[in-house]
Amino acid sequence: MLLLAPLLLYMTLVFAVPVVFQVAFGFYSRELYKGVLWRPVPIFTVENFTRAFSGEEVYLQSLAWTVGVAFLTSAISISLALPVAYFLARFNPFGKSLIEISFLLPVFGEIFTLFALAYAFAPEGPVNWFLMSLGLIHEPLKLVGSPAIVIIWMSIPTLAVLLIRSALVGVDVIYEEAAQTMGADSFQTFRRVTIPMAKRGIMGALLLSVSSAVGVYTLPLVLVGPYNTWLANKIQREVDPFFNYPMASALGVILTGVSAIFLYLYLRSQEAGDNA
Amino acid sequence: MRLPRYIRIILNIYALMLAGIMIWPVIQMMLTTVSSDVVFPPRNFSLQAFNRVLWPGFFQSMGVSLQLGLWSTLLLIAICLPAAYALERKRFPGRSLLSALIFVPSVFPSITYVIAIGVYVAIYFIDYRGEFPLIVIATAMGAIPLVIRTIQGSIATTDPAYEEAALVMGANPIQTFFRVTLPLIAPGVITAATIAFTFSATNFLAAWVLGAKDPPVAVYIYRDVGRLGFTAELAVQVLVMEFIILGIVQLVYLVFRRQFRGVFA
Repeated sequence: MLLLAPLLLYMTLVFAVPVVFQVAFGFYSRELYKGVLWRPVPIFTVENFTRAFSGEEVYLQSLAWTVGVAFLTSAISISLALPVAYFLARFNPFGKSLIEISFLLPVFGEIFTLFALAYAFAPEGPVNWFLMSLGLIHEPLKLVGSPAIVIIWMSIPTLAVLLIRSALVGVDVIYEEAAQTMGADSFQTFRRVTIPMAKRGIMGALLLSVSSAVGVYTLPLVLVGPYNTWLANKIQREVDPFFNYPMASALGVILTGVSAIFLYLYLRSQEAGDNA
Repeated sequence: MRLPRYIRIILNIYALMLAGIMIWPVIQMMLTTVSSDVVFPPRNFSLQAFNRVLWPGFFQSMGVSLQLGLWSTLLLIAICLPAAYALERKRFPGRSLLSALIFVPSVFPSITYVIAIGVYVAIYFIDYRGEFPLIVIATAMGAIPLVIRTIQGSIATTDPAYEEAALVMGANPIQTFFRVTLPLIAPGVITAATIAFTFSATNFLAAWVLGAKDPPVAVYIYRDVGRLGFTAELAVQVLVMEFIILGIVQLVYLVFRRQFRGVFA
């Protein structure tokens, strides 16, 4: 038990205490201090939460956008990942180790990837050059600074491939072979046999992916700029120019809550499958 | 499943295309650093961007980053090594709950607890806002599961018989740990340390949100984006940063590969 003490102490002080206080601060009200600064005062109010969920303020819109984009991009990236993951799970493709290593690359150095993206999507960068030489567009799109670039990058499957591959490996080849023996073609087999059998793993990958995608912060900050719609950036903006700590805490609680809901759904979907 | 040949070829090309998208940022950065403007295909090759970087400021923040990486690695190893040992070797009530609890901070998006720390510090410890130790502590959190998992894995593959033998022969538990267990699991600990170092030294989020007084290199580079936009000089800085940090990691591997011949492939 003594061996665990440092870790537990660290996690209590650095994670649990701030998060518990965050919930408490969410219910604080604030008052003007020396006429210029807002400071939080410990008077109970639910105003922060009603403001966050009222249709007149920007917060609800921001929350809807964040969750919507997280869901959309996760769904796209997982459906794009399915064929590759299946291929990697069952066959020995040309350049297999290269492909596998490349999917782990974004893990190392977030800043590196972000800057590379910004240069690639620049008005005269390779993406615009490619689209223009194909003749799809006639003048360069202004992608850096627009949310489109974030949505595009979040939709490209990276870790999703590895998550889904482990789900697909779990499907026994025997069932697929049985389906093919009985005359199903390969697409039918994939759609009617493989996907339903790997459904739990695919759902799990989707929920995990959504739960981390609602917290996307650095990507829109660097590529779109500080004044974007994502909720995490809204929270940081409450702290930085406005010093509105109670509001920031309330929004933080909401963001954590949304992420927790998806995590809970993930855990439940995995358990339900175990009992079945 | 048997697939027609043409579908296999299409799928293979598709997989290679995705891999290409992932690898291509590296090439993109290199191309940008050797051309004077951000244009594709590159038309003016020059190394001017290397001249125009404000090197003193860059190296100062690079130093901050390396210190951040070093201290955060030491902190992580100090708290995760005993914890991983206990989780792997000892049996006690609540063990499975604890090993799940460790992953809680990492499954939530890190922005949620970093902002919680920021607000907490701003209200109760305003004098310490943006101080270096605080940044170290906040940065280390994100790497805990990776570090524990790596160390745990290497403890799991070593036979407890050696430790038992040492204990039977009269070594006390602390001697046993430092003279028997630690040398056996050293490769795993070193791998964990390099993961922790890479994670902390390139980390942007904690230092940025907590408003570090001495900015680490990722924050230093990002601050110029607002002022200059995405220029070739920034590409140079990002590339050099990545080279230095990964270079140090490679160096550590080279040094220890001699020590543990045959352990690192």
